[in-house]
Amino acid sequence: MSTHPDERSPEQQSAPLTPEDAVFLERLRTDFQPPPLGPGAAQAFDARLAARRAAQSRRGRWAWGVGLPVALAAAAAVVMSLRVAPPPAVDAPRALPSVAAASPAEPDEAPVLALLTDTELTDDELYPDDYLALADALAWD
Amino acid sequence: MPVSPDREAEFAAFVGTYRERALSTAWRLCGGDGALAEDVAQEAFIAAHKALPRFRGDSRMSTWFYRILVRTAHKQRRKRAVREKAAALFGLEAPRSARTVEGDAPLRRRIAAALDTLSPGQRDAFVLVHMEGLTVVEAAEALGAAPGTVKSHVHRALVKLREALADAYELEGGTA
Repeated sequence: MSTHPDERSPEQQSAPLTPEDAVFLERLRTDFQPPPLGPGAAQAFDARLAARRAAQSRRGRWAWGVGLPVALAAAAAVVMSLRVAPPPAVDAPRALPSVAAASPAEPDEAPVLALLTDTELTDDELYPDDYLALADALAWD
Repeated sequence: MPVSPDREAEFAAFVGTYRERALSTAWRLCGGDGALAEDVAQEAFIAAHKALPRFRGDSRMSTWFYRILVRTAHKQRRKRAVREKAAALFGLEAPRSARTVEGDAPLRRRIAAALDTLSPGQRDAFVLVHMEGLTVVEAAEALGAAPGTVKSHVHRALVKLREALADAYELEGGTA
């Protein structure tokens, strides 16, 4: 893609480097580089890539063939349960929310919320990968 | 949307050409975690192939791919962070690949730790410009940022890393 960093014209570089910076960067590049790919590593990488693509394709088909119908059935069940639920009594006195009811999380949810808080992610960033990662993490054992 | 056979062939050749480079960049973006780097490189190639119908050729395929690679690295790093937090909170065994540096050389661990102290923007810009040799303009395209922002990130990252690693290099007799 590009030439070696030190061979670029000044306008292509980030900023003028002092000789000390240049020495530091050269050593950093030397000291922090991945091990070279061994013989057959490229073919092994391609084989794993093909296997991963095939697995993702199978999962995609499963999602459309099984996951989607199951999700639709679940959604339909929720809608039906809402339709058959009796309406709340108009005259019934409304109970004031108790401290327990106002608690933001059930006991089992508290660690999960703590985890998400610890990662300092905003709501926009939470979906969907963090929940998937969390689900992966909880399924380790 | 179907992809033309020519574009498919171009992409296949691209994977062959950029496989090692993608692994190297992913390895550095992931702080020397070899297993995570392979995940990132493979997921990035798969994501790029899926997005191939939308690649219009306005930029070079390599620049377009770098953008996908960096985004994938972000995603995978965050997954790792969530897993590590979950492991700590729920008393689970941490994933084996987490925070491992190839070869486990102490200096490489120091460098990985120093890179970890940078903001994601600083780390990505520094790795792309000073370690992978992209120009500021190329890195800006790959990161979806303004060149001025990339320059600023790179400069701050360099200052921070020199501070963080000064003693390590001095101990080795370096001038840094």
